[in-house]
Amino acid sequence: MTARVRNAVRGLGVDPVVVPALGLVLVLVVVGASQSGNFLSSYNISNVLIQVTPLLLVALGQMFVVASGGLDLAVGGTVSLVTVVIAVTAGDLGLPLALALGLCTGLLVGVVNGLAVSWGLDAFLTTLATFSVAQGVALLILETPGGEVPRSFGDVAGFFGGPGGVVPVALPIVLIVAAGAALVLHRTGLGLHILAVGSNRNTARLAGVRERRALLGAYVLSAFACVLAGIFLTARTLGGDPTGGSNLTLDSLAVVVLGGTALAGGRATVLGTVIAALAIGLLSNVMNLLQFPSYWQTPAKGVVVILAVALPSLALMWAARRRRRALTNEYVSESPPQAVPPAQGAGGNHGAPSLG
Amino acid sequence: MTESRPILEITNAKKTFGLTRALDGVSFSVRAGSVHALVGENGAGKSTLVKVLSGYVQPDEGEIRVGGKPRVLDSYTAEDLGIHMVHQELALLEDLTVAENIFIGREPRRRGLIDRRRMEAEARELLARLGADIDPGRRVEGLSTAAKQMVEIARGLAIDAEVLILDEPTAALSPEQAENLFAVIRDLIAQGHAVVYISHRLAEVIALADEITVLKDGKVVTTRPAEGLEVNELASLMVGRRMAEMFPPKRSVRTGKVLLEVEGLVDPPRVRGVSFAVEEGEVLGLYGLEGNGQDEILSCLAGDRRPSAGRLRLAGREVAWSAVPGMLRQGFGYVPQDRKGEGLLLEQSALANAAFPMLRALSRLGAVLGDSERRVGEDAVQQAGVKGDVTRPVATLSGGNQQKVSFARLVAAGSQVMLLNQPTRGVDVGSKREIYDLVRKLCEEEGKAAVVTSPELSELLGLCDRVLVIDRGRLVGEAPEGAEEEELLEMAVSSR
Repeated sequence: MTARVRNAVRGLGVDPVVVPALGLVLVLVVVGASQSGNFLSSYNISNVLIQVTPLLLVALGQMFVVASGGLDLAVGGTVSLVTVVIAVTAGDLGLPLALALGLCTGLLVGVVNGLAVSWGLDAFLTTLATFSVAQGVALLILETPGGEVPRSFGDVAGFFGGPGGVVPVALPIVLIVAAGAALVLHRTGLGLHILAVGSNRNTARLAGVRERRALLGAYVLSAFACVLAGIFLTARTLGGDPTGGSNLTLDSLAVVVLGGTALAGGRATVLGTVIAALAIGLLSNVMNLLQFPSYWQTPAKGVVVILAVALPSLALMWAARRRRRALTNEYVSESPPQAVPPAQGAGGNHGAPSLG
Repeated sequence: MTESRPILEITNAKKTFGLTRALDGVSFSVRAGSVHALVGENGAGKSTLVKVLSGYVQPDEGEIRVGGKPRVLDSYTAEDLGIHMVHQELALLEDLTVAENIFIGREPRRRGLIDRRRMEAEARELLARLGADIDPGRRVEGLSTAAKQMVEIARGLAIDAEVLILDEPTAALSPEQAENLFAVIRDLIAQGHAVVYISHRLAEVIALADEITVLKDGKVVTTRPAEGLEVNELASLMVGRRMAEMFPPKRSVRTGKVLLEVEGLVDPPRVRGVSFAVEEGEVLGLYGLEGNGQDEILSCLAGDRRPSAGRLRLAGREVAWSAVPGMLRQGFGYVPQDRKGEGLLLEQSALANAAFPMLRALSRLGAVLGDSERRVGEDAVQQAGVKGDVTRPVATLSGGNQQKVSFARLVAAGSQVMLLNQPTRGVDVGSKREIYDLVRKLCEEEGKAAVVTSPELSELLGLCDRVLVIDRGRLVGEAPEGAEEEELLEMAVSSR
């Protein structure tokens, strides 16, 4: 991105890192609206919102882990496990207890991840392992989608004013969660310390940041987001699905990266994550409306993510090269005053530069 | 100055790292409202001492008292007790804002939440107290060294540090920035803070400090009031021998044969058109304040950076720039500044390290012939005078011997031009002389030439036949014969 574009974006009060996600949303809206008459229908819009809800929830949690310099591959398995636990126990224990049990199960995964990583285990391996444990346990409990929750619970995933409604019940909840995430990120010691640890773990420790607590917090936040997503999915399908969350691991990472959170850690943006979740949701939606086979959607997401990561750095590289060339021309044309003559014997006048 | 009790003192501190006695019974104290300077050569134990005082390193023996009470320090408790260290390699979180960096770990809260407005306001106030015009809301990334230093000092003020430890704060500052820093320090002293100040610049130390402690080989040579001390006196206390004995004699005859010619070298933004020539047998120094292009010039010649314009000739023959392996083949050998990170394969033996660049020449069908690797390595290691077991990992050797392994590599590669970036960094005094001798020997006997950069003026003046001065990417002059350190420094900034 050139400096001019960046300044223009800043002038609008928008962090430039959200630009790729925002651009993708705009492109998809234009394509969708022009190619399909149904795209702007209230039915389709609320459909997109419902579909994007679990992804956004999980991505908001994933964002904290990525900001801490790690990544949480366990989220997909955790969400599945939570839906299964709730759906299997709701009949006998009643919904409130089942939800509480789901919450505890999910947080347990987060605590295990957080402790392991804070004690120095590799985040990739740790969360890959806990993913398979959570996934395996979910399948042990429930081999195929099933279980049962009260029908009324389904309202959580429905619309205000019943089935014909337009505004999803989950919308205000999701907005509150996003606002909460922003609050934690920017206004609590935990959020600041997560960013500090992600920026430079060693320096953060020397500055007196309790790095282990911050890392534990990041993984627990991620697990908590998984619990919320699990509850939502259970309500939507009125049952548990032992593999229902498996796409969420990669998709949530895609959203976080596309949203502009630095994979290296230290920087995170809630706004970017929200917009990117919308972008990924719209991508599926538009491809559905245009009747692409569903197998195209996964590679399309992959391409989008790679572009999102590569384009900004390519733009930076290109700008740096241009600047370098301009400076070189400037320096060469200035023909610097030769304060120090070369030692005797240095050859004659060779004008044009030949290197580089 | 009122005589007050020491706020921070350490008695009989000892610390060994491996075989090195970094501290050997050091006692040191600093009083409120005063500056106590620590001087000594590299490796004298200054850094270890201040790391012990700020809790980053635990001493093997010795008692630390803070405010008269015995304490055991780690980096948390040291800050809690009001001891704050401003690191030479500045320790800031680049992704976070200035205000966040100043207050992290003790952010002002309101109803449990971080009070950002207050945090930024207080940060602004602290920075204003230091006369630093820095926006507390911006990220630290991209700030100048001087600005980062102010942020670190502000952090010290934010935690109400009674003792501020400054490790070589002026090394990367321009004279005006340094003057500003001194004013800040004098202010802090007037407010009752104590400052421990490390610097190589002796005139600066004498002007600023109340007391000076000279360290050498891990021991205190003397502690005395700064008043009335002369630079020469202090220097001889530090070195413990005369300057002339530190360095081998310079070349006796000029060969007059030009070996390397560099013309119009440009590498934006730091190198803006540099031309010079080096003769066979000559050791040429390049001096500039940090970040004025001298490091980049060496990197370009070594093939580690790609210049965007310029020409090179070696012994009259045009050299096409290429990456490191190509430049090495053409006779450019490089000893980088960071021996551990860039220079050596620490887990490999000295022999393997010395022969490493020649593997291609020595290998047939991709397989390295064990014997020839050994032979080449042995010759080179012997020529470079490496002492110790050359078949064990380089990491087990002392700093001086590690550095000689870097030279052995140049010998093995048959480098004509030796590009040396801080060739004696982190090397003990005895080995320094051996390395200087080695550079001389290789130039004198084998007709090589060396281009040396170093922030240590005494090293450049003592070792090099000529010293060129670089400022903001351009050569601005040549040090006259017998120049003093102050003259060189003056030249490096005079064109501003």
